[in-house]
Amino acid sequence: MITLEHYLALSAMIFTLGLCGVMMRRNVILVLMSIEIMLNAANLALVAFNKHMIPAADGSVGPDGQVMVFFTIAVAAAEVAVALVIAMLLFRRLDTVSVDDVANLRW
Amino acid sequence: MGSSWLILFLPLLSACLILFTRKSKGLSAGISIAAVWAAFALAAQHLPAALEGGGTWAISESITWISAGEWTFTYGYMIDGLSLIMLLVVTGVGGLIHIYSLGYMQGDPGFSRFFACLSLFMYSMLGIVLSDNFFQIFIHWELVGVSSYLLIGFYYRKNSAAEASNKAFLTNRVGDFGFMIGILMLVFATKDMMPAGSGAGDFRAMAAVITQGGWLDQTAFSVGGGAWTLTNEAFLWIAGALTFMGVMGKSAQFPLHVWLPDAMEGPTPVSALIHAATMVAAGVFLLGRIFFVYLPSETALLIISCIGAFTAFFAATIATTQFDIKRILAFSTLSQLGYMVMAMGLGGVDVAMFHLTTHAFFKALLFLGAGAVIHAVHTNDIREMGGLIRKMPLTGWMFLIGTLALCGVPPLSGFWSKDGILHLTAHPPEYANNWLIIWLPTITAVLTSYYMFRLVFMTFFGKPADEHKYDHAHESPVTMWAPMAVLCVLAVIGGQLVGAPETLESFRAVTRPPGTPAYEPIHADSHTVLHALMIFGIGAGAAFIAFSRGWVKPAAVRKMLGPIPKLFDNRWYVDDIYEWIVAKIQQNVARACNAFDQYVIIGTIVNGSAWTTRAIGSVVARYQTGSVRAYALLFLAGVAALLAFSL
Amino acid sequence: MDPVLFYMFAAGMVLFTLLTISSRNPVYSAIFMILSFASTAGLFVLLDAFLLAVVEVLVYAGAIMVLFLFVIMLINLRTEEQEGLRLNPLAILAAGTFLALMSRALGDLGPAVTSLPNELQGSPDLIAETLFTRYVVPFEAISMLLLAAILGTVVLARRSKDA
Repeated sequence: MITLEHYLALSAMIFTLGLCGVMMRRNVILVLMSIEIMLNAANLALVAFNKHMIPAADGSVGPDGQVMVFFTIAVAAAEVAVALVIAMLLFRRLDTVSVDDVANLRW
Repeated sequence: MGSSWLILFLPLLSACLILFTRKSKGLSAGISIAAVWAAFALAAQHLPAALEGGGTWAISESITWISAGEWTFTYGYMIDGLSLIMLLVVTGVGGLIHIYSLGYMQGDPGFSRFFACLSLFMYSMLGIVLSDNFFQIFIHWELVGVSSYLLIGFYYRKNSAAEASNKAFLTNRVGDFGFMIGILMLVFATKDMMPAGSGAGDFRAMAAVITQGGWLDQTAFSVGGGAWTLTNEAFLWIAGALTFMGVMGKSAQFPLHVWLPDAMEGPTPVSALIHAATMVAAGVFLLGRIFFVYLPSETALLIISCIGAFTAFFAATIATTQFDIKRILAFSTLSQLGYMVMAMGLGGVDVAMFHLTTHAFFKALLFLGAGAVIHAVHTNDIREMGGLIRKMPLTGWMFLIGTLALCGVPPLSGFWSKDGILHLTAHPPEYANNWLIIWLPTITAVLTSYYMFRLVFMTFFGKPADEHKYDHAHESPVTMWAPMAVLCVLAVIGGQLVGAPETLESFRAVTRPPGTPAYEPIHADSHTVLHALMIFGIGAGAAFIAFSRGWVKPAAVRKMLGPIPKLFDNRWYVDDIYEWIVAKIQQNVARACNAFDQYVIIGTIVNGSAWTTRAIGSVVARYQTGSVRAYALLFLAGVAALLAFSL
Repeated sequence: MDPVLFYMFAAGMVLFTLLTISSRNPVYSAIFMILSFASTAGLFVLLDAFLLAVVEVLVYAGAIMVLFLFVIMLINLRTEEQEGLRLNPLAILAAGTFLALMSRALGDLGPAVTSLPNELQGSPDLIAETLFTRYVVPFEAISMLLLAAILGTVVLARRSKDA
């Protein structure tokens, strides 16, 4: 039997992998991709929860979790668009895509 | 609104007006003099009614000043026999001195300022005399201190004058501290029983509470649920003793006497008015006013009489070695004040007030005379004078009469009042039956005759010590000797007027507070007269031998007495002790407090918190590396922490 | 059938994600990510979220990744010289801690969910019904957000006037 815990464990693992990507890659584009991975893992968790919700009084289960995922996807898309534009501008300005080179906001 | 309000406010008005008439000397003086004599007239109008009414006559009025919850502070006046006598003395003698100042302060650039300060002083002093409650009297008490400060430091450019006025104010302040605590204690102890609607600290209301039966045995307060209680009786004598501190400050009793000799830095009219006749007498007046506080407690009365007796003796000893004419008179004043306070302590309120009155007459006369002498020879030192009676006969003879009055020679006024006191000390009440009271006053009287005649002989008789100054000397103008003449007349007949048995009875009836024990008044019988003449004879005789004829050289006597003259010279070293206390103790305490402030409060707390904040800030600032990845790591760490915390 | 499919898709997802974050070539990373999304879509189907699976492929794999590839091309991203994934011990520790904590959190499931699946309908009409009735306000908000994103992108990507 595949239970909720399976899905959640998977989601946690993917999330952590995305996290590692964010922390350990130097390339801006790769960092953004890792963020997408994390969002994806969250979506998976949402849908899994939706499937395993306790039904309402009349036995029906609304697709609330899936609607939330809808929204997450939309937001992710918007965010990626803007983030990529910024990355491009960064490249134009500094001619590098390494995050280590943009450490101007320092003490 | 009774006309008696004007008594209080005319001088105040005068002081304010003089602010605007500073340029015109005549106008300033005129306003001031007019105010004083108007006050005298207004006070005198009550005399017939007072004499008829006796001990129970009183008129009063008051207005509510502050009303806060259950406390109502009033401002008003109360004229009864006691205050009427004081009023007449203050305004009468004060008025004469105002006229004298016209002549004395001629040519002084601060002429108008002087009269303004005099008027301010009159207002303050009259306020004390007329007050009907403790708080009002305290306010005026302080006001008098301020006026005294302004007048002592009149020649403010002189260092010694400025220091003297500071000393006076500070010493008074110490006394007032005790006074205030005493007042608060008394008000606290009686407040529950005060009749509704009476002002806070009202004298008559409080007297009624204290004298009602059984109040003394009630508990003032107890500590620890009855483990240690303080009855009203004990409370009363402690409060009385504290209130007496105010008297000690104002009337210059030992040990708060140190300011009076230095106060001679002020102009002579000031010395005459404030430090002989009126302000220093305020303490004595206060004792009479609040005698109901002391009446039930013998401990307080004992303290008062002993301090008074000692002060009288102590001041007299110092006066024997002084060479400054005004200082001699200052110590003489101290001595006589001691007599008055002692008399109060022995229950003789009326005798003390009588002596206050006569003392005002002859002491003011003596000071005015001294002022005339100083004015003539431009020096205070009696060693530079001599034989002045030939050059200034009027002043000289009046001065001599004043001296005789002071020494208690019958039938002058001083005899009646001083010997009244000496009679009292010979038969003291039970609690005061000790050698201090019985012997010291008599010894002091002998010393008084001695030092006063020493002064007279060295100043007015004999060969002039300084020819140049002698030639310069001249008689004083009319404005100066006329008031002296009036005072002289009063000094001669004042005693008879009041001291003769019939008038003395009414005087006593008027001034004696209800409940004071009665005692035998003096008669001018042969025994008393002989006693007085003997005292005078011994003292004056000794001075005659030493200073007039020169048969006994003072220097030789000095050597013979060893260290004692040195003690008197240095005023029993009291000033030096105080200086040592201030320098060693007070300054070091101040320094310690300053150090505490610098290092603990500013250094540690204020600067320390600033330093700590900056240190924390710089530690935290190190995390702002600008590196995105570091930030990401920190985010993660934060989230992990939150997660761990919430699980 | 279910467990097999699940494990297959799950393994694929994990593998492809791992490859994504450790590739040296960014294009390879993008491709692996697309494959990862595809596995996710498969998992969605297993969870009866049919519409969502399709949307995932269309939007995520189709649009977003294409965008990524465009940008990679535009900035001419080369293969990096060094190893792509530099193992940072601190980061590994943090991630491990995080994983542990998350597992602990997700392990304590409350009464609102059961471990056993229930009957779910993931058809478009059902989702549309919920979306346009209960969630209409967030829906409108999202459209605003997308508008803002479009505008922002256009403005940002413009060449400056004096360039």
